[in-house]
Order: sequence, then C-alpha cells, then structure tokens
Amino acid sequence: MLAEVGTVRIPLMGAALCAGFPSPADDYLDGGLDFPLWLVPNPPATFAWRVSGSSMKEAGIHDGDIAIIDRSLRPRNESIVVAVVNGEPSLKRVSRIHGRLLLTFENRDLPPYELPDLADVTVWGVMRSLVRIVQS
Amino acid sequence: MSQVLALIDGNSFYCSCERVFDPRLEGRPVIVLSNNDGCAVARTVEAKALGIRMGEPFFKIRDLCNRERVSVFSSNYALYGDMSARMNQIYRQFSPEVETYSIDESFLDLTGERRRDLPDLARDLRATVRAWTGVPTCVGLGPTKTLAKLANHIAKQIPELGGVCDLTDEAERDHWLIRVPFDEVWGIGAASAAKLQRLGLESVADLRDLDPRLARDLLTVVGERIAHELRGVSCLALETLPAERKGCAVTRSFSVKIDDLDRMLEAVADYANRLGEKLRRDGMAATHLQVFMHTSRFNDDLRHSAATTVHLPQASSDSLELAAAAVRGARHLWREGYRYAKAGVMTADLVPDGRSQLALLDARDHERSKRLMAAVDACNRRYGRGIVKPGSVGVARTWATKFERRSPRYTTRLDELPTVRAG
Repeated sequence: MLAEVGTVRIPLMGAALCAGFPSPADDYLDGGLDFPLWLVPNPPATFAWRVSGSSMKEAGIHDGDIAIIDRSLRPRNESIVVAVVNGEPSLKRVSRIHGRLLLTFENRDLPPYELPDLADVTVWGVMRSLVRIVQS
Repeated sequence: MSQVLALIDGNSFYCSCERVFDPRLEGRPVIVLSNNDGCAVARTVEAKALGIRMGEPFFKIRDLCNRERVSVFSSNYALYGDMSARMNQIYRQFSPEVETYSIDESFLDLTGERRRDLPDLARDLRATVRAWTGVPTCVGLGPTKTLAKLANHIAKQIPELGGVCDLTDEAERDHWLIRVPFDEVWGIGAASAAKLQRLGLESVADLRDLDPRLARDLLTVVGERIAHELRGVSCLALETLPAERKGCAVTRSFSVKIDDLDRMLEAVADYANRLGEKLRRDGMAATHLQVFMHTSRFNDDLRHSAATTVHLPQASSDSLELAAAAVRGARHLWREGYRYAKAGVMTADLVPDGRSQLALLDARDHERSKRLMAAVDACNRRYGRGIVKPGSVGVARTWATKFERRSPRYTTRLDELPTVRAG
C-alpha cells in the first residue's frame, strides 16, 4: 500500500532494530522522505535542501525549490554544488575559467560572485536534481 | 580460520549529526542534552576540553556554556535515527553481516575480506561514511567483539592512528594490550574493576592472562568470557537479527510534575498509543498492560509509587483498546494530592498478533480494528508521527518530554529541510 514499486524511503528504518541497546531514537523516528529510485539512486548519501534566494535562477533554480544533493557525486566542471563558504552553505555553479575552478552565480542581474579573501571553502555535496512544488 | 570483526562508531555522534547541517559548528564546542534537556550526553572534543563531563546536569554547566559560547542542543532523535540508518546502509555495502548494536555503533563481519589489507579496508569504510553522510567515525578491528571494541577505543584515544586500530594481528595486540588499563574492556564495570584492582591487575594484558577459571570465580561467567575473548577466542556471536520481543515498555519522566488526573490520563493514553504502534510494527499483541506512576525520589514531595495490571479481554495491538485499558489502570492508581514525576505502560508475555483465540462474535470487530490501525499507521508514516492519535491523548500535552533546543528535523520533514542560500 505504501511501498510503491521503485520508491525508496530515506532513511530505511534500520535504527529501530538495535541488537544491543534499544535505540533512544526509537520513539521519535519519522518516516523519512520518499523519493523514487531514479531520482535518488544512492539514498544513504542523498539529502534535500531548501533553496533560498534567486542567484541561480538562470540555472532554473528558484526561491523555495528543493535541491536534491548527492554527497557521493564528485564535483565536475559545470556541477552545481552546495558550497560551504566560511561556514555558510550556498548554492553555486563550479566553472573552470582559464584553468581555475571558480564558484559562480547564475543570475545576470547580480555582479559576478567573488570569494572573500582567505575564504574557507568546502563542497558539501553535488546537486543531482531539483524538485519544485507548483501548487499545494 | 579466525574471524575478523569491525566495530565502527560515530565520533561524538549526536554532535557530529548537528554539525553536518550547520557547518558553523565545526571546530567549536557543541553538546547535546538528554530527554527533558537534563544532562550532557554527547560532547565534541572542544566541549570536553572545557571540562564538561559525560552525564553532567545541564543546570550545573549553564553558566559555563554561556560564557564559552558552547552550542547546546536537545536530542533530535529523528535526525540521529535517520543518520544512523544511512550509516548502516553503507555498512551493508561493505559486509553482508552487520549487527546494529546501538544507535551509533555497529559490528561488521569482515572475515570474507581477509585477502584485502584490513586497515586499508577500514580506512575506505571510514572515508565512505564521512563523504556520504558527513559523520566522522572510528574503526576497531579484532578477531572477537571484545577485541574489536577495544581496538575502537584505542583508535579514538590515539589520533595518530587515523581513526583505525587493527588488533587482528597478535604482535600488534601484544603491543597495545599492555598499554591500556583493564577497566577499558567492554563488560568490566566498577564492581569488577575493584576486584581486579585488589588482585594487582593493571593492563588489559593482565586481564587476558588471568586464568579463565579464576576469572569465572571472580567475575562469574561474564568474566570468563571476557578472558577468552581477549585471547582471540570468540564467545559472543554477531546478532544480525533483533531478538524477538518478549516485552515492550513506554515510560517517561514528565517535563513538569503532574498533579491533576486529566493530565495523567492523557499521558498514559499517549504511552499506550505508542506501545500499540511498537507492537504493530513488530507484529505482536499484548495480553495485559502494566501501568505505573510514581513521584520524584529526588525532592521533598510526598512519596507515592504504585503499579497495577490490567488484563485485556483478548490479545490486542489496537491503540484505542490499549489506551482505554491504560486509562482504567491509571484511574485506579491515582491518588489526589501528589505530584507525579513519571509514569509508564509496559507489557510482558507478548504473543504474535492475529494468532490468539478469538471469540467468533469478535471476529468482525477485530478485522475492523486491524484496518483502522493500519490506516492510522499509514497516515503517521506519511505525514509524520503523531498526526493521527486517540483523542484521549489530549492536545496541549503540557507534560510531554521537553526538547526546547532541538534543531530542525533536517532529513525527515519537508517543512524542516536545511536551507541553502542562493544569493
């Protein structure tokens, strides 16, 4: 009834089955979010993030969209990533320009993105797909 | 051929889960509190360095936390449970035999991987979990559970090991076992440690070399087993299937003391409802409920502690029936004028659901109850726990367990997803 074919639930409810200690989380587990397997081929590495802002609108990503981020993907040229810049997660395009990897906006109305000096940058994960609720 | 077991666990697991979704916490002191925001149950290295001890009551360290800008969280079990489930999914890609021992510890059987360089495999496992989930881990390798657990402890203590300690090799074992105090061994509690101390034991090697018969005289069969396990003789098998439940309990301390009957009835109805969910998940049914309530043992309140057993007309996992029975029991126990601190609903002697003898007349009701509960469970799975529940549970729930500093349920609720800035 609930387990439609081809649907994965992230997470699977493994934590409820501890052999040693009963999990303290047992009484508080939620069902998790259901995504079809073709959207989320690697469930344990996949997380959904809510997009806030319009700096990626020319990549078709708008305020309020849900970005599906797969942490098992390696960033490539032109990947869209969740980049953590000085502790703040932000959505950016990875672009190779003149042999250097840069993080860029996708919005002509904005000045080009400039990384702060001596910024601490890590890639949290790579965006695999996008979900938008059009009418709820 | 001897087996190879790995024990992998998350470093400061609850804190690490918080850091994954709030990268500003990286490198800063973080603690997570127990139910009702009582005690510190997880601490990052930065928080440990400030002198915050495991289990320390929060009220004692509140000032310290303010002064040192420690980030303090309530337990976010939805998040930790989800992250734990993800990690165990990854473990199963490395080994067909995984025992989820607790929310943040799992044993893996890597016996089939002997041909690979084991520490290399362990590093690969750690790196995969770190990359995919963001949670840092340590791995201990050994021929027995006790040695794998000890190896894990060593990996945690000695940063130079890079998160992996291998005790499958006998020479390596000799090196480490003389350097670790015996009370770090899994299963050696304070009472056992005191006895061993009197014998003059110091290191794990001393405990390993204890005559197993002496270990048995001193520490019962548990001690004998530990001595064998430390010698590399496996006595504890991997438990990859959860033991069939024989009993089930839902008990809670209230966030504020309960001194009126209606609140108490709501609370026990809520626990019975939750008990029903657990039973249905496991395909079991209860033949009776035990209900208890008591006042605090830690203050000057008048004391009252009581328990009663309510027999069910037939084995049931129906939350409505269980809640009604729990309410009957609680009414019976209730004494006016006391301030109750805790209550619970328990059951033992569970039977497989649906196999109990049913009176013919009840068969149709039973079928209806089954369908109703299946629909309730489906709603709660789809829309979040507690969306549908018996009316007796109440709405205000002033007594419910407090989680005032809980972070969002980032991974299980669509309306609580982490936010990524685009702009």
